[in-house]
Amino acid sequence: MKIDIEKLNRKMPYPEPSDEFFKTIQDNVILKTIGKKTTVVQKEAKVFSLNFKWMAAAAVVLIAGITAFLGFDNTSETQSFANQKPIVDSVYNMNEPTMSNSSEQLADNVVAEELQDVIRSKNIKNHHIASSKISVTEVQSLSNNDRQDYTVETNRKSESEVEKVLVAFTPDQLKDLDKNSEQDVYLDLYN
Amino acid sequence: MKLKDEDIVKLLTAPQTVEKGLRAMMDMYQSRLYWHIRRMIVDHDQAQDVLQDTFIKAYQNIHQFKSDSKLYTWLYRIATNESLQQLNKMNRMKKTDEDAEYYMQNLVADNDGKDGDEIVLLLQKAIQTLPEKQKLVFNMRYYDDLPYEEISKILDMSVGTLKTNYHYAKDKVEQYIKDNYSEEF
Repeated sequence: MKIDIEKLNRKMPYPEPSDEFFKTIQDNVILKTIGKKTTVVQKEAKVFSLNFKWMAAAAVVLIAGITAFLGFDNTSETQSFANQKPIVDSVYNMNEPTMSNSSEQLADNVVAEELQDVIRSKNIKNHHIASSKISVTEVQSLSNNDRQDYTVETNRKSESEVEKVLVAFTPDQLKDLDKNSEQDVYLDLYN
Repeated sequence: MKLKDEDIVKLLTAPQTVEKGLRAMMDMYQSRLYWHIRRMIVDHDQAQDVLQDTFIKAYQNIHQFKSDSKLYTWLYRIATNESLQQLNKMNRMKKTDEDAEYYMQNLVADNDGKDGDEIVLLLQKAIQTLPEKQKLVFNMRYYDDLPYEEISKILDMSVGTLKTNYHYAKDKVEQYIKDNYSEEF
């Protein structure tokens, strides 16, 4: 038997694939190639155009806005600082005499006050209490905590100095001082 | 409207028209390439994978395409390489020690449409007995009716070698059919 394949029907024995089959292949290929890249490219192009035009405008507006806002804030801050500084300075100025005076002047001033208490109460312990109340009263007049601490500390120093001076006084001298002293109405209010 | 190869390449290389170019290329060559791959691979699902990979590689390497050759020649070359790679994979993954030729013949029988001519099925089985190169030459010449010059470009073989290969392949196929036709039918 002679076989000539050239004369045979050149068809395949396998069934023809459907149109859906090729459509699926095309979709898969598009998805795996430009499906991703197209999205990325579009995004990049949009981002680039937005960056150049809109971001420049947005940046200018943003900078101007921030500058105006901070400028306004700076003014208020400066004002508040300007207001605060004298307060701080006044605190230091208020305390400065205590700090800068010589120990003798300091002792004299404080002794005059403290002796009034001592004489009135006839008690050294009462003197301590009263002097601390004086300090507290003075401190309460100042709203700043730092100033409070600083004042209390300064007064404690002066108290120890007063004690030293009192020890040096004789009982006669103390009686003389008592006669010459006047009642402190202000302090009585708080006794 | 059918586009020329040059137009498809232009569409593929322009970023705005890549998708249009890809679809045009696939519309034009998907059927021919599918059957070229299917004749090599036999299995439908694997042929689908190879065809997809062929188009993806074509897209990825479109900048390497030289305009002096035809697009379908270039695509056939990619499809052929992909098919050979897939066949190597299949051979490596085969767990049994059965002969590759016997395996492919069984695959042909399994994929038979059941309504085809028996001698056509026998022809496919005969093709599976050929060496890879002869199989390629025979398929491209016999089924795709490609000129030897084009096959020469696809397979990097001289026209003379191709003619010789085809001649040998044809003799073997005819002999196989003659031997098996009387036995089976």
